[in-house]
Amino acid sequence: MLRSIACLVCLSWVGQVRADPPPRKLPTAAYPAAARAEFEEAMRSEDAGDNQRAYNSYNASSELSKQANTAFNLGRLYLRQELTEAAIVAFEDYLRIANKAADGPVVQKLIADLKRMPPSVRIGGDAMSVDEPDALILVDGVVVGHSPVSIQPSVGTHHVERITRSTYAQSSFEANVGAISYEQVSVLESQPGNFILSSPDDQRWHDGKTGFQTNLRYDLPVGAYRSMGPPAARFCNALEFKIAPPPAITHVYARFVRDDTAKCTRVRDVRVQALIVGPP
Amino acid sequence: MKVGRTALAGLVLAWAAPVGADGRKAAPDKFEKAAAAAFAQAISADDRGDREAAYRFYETAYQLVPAPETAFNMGELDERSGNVGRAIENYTRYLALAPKGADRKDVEARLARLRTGSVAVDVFTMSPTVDLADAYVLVDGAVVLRPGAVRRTDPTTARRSWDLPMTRGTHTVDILTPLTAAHGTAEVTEGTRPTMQFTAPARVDGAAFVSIGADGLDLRWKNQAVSAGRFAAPPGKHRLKVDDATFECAPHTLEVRSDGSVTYLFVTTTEGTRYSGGPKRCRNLVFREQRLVFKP
Repeated sequence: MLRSIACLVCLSWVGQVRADPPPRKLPTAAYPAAARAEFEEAMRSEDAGDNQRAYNSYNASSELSKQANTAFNLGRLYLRQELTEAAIVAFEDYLRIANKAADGPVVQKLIADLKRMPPSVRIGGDAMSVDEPDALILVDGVVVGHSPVSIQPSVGTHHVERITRSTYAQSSFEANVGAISYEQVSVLESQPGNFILSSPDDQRWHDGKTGFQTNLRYDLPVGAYRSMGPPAARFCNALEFKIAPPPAITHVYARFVRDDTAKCTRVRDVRVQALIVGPP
Repeated sequence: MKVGRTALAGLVLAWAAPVGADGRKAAPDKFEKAAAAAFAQAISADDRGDREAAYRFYETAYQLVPAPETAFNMGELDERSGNVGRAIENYTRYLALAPKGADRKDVEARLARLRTGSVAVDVFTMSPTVDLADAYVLVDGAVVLRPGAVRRTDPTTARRSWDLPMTRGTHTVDILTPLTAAHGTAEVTEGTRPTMQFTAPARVDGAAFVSIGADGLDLRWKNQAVSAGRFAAPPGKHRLKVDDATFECAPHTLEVRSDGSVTYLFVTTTEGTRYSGGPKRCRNLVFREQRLVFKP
């Protein structure tokens, strides 16, 4: 079954929560002077955009006096930094300290929503890589946009590729509920070529006429191809595609699944695309 | 001053004292009594013009009993004394202690006024070769001085300078002339007259200038770092690779003209600094591009 990519657009649930976090709380009369001073310093730092200093000051306030509003504001700070697990712990702290807070049910719902949040994955390159900008990103063989890109994939393992005019990089990643992650996909060397056979399944064979290897970019002459796999272990069905003329890169995505009944490898979910790589 | 001063000393006592079973308030505890006394002494010191002593007494009163009125009076005294940073702290404290005060809007307006008030930064150079007569000066990507702007020149030291108004905080300052360019940061803090010295070689070529206003951002053109200064890109459109820490950002297209102007690009973020590696992505970036024209 094809894995689905639930949302290809950046406007995710995570983004909305980040844009409208719950309002910040203020220190109460219960704060001793020193703890209040640190709390106020944290608020000033937040307003000035110094998140590291805000974190340090909220923690210093908490060490001086463990107060619910400090835990709450820390949770808010974590949420804005998309550190979901830390935000959940901080909001749970808030509920433990202020166990009769009027907004308890609201915070409980926020925690529950954070725990159920669909996976959010950002895919991009590496600052150290030498490849050009405007890379194409494909997930499970489907073009999802130009790098960097945000997606909300289904839970599970996914295959990702990053293609520029002269480079090709691929890997896989796990998407988990409640997680926000960044997948860095890039190479340090160029890898040109007009053909990519993409698959989450490693395959390498020579069918007597042409050599094939998955997840590698190389050149094949323009024309039609039909391969039944290696002579010693023929596929159940043929892999068929046409190599497009330049400047297109022919991208063929396929799954290679063992059919124990027929005692052969079945070629499934084939998708052939002619990709033109450049600025959007 | 917030309300009638002598009345306030009584208020501090009354506010904190609970009503007993017999309907009378209990005697104020020792902290409240001491705070009220210190508050009254602060008022007296202020009345006779001794602001330093007044502030010390207010501080004592606040440490004993952190009353919002005390915080407000400290802020107001600071504001009158020109102590901007501390005034901001104390007014912020007041709002935190009295979030539903009737004068909240007035205090917020005071804070806004204090925060945007600017300080004159002495921006100077001792380099005799820098052609400042035709300089553009930009602060945080905005032109603050155009070619022909008057500058001070010290005839004995050859020190040439401008006074540039800047708010408290860290600012990026860029200077661009027909022949050269300079880039630096100015730290504006409370209490001292800020200065910023810049130097520049006699000649720096290029029809493009990139300036960064946030930590962690890196811009590259053809694998050459172009994050802080002028560089020679030929006329046309150029894709700049942009990274924020280790995270890739969408590239930016810079257009360089062939008319002798310089394309100036300032890049900053709306999200402040990172904490603990978060968020795990490129921050929201703002690109401000403008053409700076020099008369032949």
